[in-house]
Amino acid sequence: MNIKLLHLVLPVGISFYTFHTLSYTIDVYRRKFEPTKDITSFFLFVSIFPLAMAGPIERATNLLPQIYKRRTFDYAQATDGMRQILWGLFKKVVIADNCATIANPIFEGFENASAGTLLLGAIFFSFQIYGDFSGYSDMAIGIGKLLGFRFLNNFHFPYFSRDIAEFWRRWHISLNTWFRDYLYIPLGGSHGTKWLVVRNTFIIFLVSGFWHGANWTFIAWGAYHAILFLPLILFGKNRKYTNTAAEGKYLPSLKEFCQIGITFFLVMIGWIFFRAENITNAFLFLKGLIHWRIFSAFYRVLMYKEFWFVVVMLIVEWLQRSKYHGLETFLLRCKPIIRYVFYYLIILTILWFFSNNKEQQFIYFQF
Amino acid sequence: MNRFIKKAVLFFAPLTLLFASITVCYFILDPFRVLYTYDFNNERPIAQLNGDFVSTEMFLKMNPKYHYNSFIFGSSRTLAYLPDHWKDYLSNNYSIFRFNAPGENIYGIYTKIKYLDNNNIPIKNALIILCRNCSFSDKNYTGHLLRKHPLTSQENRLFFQLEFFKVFFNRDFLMCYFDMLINKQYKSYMENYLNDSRFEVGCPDDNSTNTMLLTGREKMIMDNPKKYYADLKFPQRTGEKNDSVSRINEKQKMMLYEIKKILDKHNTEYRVVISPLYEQIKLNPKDKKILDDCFGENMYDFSGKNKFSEDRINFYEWSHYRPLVGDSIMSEIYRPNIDSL
Repeated sequence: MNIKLLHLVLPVGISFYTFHTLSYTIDVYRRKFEPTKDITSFFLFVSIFPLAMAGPIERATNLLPQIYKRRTFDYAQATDGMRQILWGLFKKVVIADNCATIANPIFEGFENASAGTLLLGAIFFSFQIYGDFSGYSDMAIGIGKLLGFRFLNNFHFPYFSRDIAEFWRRWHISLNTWFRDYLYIPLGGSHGTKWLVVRNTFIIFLVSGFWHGANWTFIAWGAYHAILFLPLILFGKNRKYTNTAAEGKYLPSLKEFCQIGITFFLVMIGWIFFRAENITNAFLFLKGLIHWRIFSAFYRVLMYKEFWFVVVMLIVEWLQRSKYHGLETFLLRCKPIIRYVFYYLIILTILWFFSNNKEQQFIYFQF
Repeated sequence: MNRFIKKAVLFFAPLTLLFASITVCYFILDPFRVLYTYDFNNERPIAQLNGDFVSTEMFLKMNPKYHYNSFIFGSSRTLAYLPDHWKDYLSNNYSIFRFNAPGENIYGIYTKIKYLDNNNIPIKNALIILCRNCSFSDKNYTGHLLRKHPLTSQENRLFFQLEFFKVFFNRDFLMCYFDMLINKQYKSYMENYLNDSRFEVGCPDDNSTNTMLLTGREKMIMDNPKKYYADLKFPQRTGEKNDSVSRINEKQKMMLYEIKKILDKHNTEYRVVISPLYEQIKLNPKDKKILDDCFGENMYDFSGKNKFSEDRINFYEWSHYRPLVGDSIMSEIYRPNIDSL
């Protein structure tokens, strides 16, 4: 079958609800969970609408008990849900969609771009994919809270990670824990010989890459992260950073700052494979980065308004890095008027960008 | 929950008020002239209107009075075929209507002809103008500007209206529109959103035939052609002689044969013309064969390099040729001259 045809034939969300049902089946088999006799609850678990498009990937052990239980309205949870939806919308509409307008042309015309431009493309794509994915997750989780559900967290400020292992504990958490529980651990996990650990690590990352799409670039992306992750797990350093960066402090130390910067850079390189059309283009893109002009990106990036929105997002999320989401307690101690003005600024910014569809044509011909 | 709902309503009240105000403005101002009935002859709208909608509404309004039986179908390039000149080639008892649409495609012509047939409107004469670069498509357009009237396309009227309503909320359009409405001054930043009042805005000058006369332009050309064309930019010709892409697919072929079937049913005296465009790219031979097989000797191909497409003075600008070209074409297709090309 033509792989391209698969993209048309497969229904939306299949990778998410397939994993929902798999987790249910496996947990029942392992006797971790009683099989449900309520088919309505089961179908609701499989296909609950906020999760259909982009997760998070729920577990029967987390969601089904919530479905069985009679839910009562929780004011605090509902308002928190509204804040999370707002933040998710901001990340999707303001951050992701605007970063895409910069990243897309650069990736499409990378052959003629300078090293500085290529680096800009990679940086903006890194924030595009984060804004997109985590934005959708925040909206889904926020809607869940409005409905009285507590879905699993999916992104926990991954770009503040100090090493790759921490990054993978913070990025697409629901998928990674799914692979850990249903693939990595059954394969033996970190127990056994070093070769077994290497094998298991590679399997997880390659399968994770393949889950994202039927293209060698995703496999390459997975393999790249496996190579980065391997030394940490072989030397037992994969659980070095389990707390929050700069815990209890406002700013990171110089060491932490460098660790965060290096981790972001390594992840950003991986995104080049993720975004490229094919492996050749990915390597050509990387080759294009190797030039002294790459440093021009550092001052050019300041000229993009999108960059400043990213800075705002990073500041808010840094201040909330020990919380569940970017607006969980942000300004909650301030007077309501200050909070509402801030929320309205976000809403108006979202509307400002949302209501400007550049593809709409208003003039057919001006005589 | 009551407390939450109350707080949410209060919080969103300013936004709701803003949205409601814009909605009320939309219904009062009707910027795209799709909500109510208009005399388009006297309209000078700020926003560019949907040309297909205007044409069809004009037809619906005027047909009871004029009982049209002769039609010019095609894109805005049909402005070169003046009904007042076309009538010289028609036998008696004609009543002409220019049933055009901007960027008209085969789908649009097919649905219009089908509509006329389904409503027992006689098609005594027809002049179908096709253009290599815009006619060969079998779908309705998306977006508000070129979308077909729901009467002919059978699109749900509500969805059709919603498209315009949605577009009104475009941030840049709203800014331009209200700036123009209040200050009545066209500014350069509006060029992608509003009609430039210095130019003809595309509403018909003659309601009875739906004719658009670019008299202002004609006068500028006649007064000082050198100056007129000096200010205009014509694109570089690519040198491409034949269109390398065959554009007529099976669905369009089906539509073309349906058009022929209906015209034959009405015993229509018709001609199909492929426009002479400044680009001078000849219609793909496969497409020409399909059209020849379908319409036979009623098909006239003026695409490519010829006396009509050569000289800039035959064009208002790079896209639209002048009525003097339309007149020459009509004299050829109705009274053919073997040595003309």
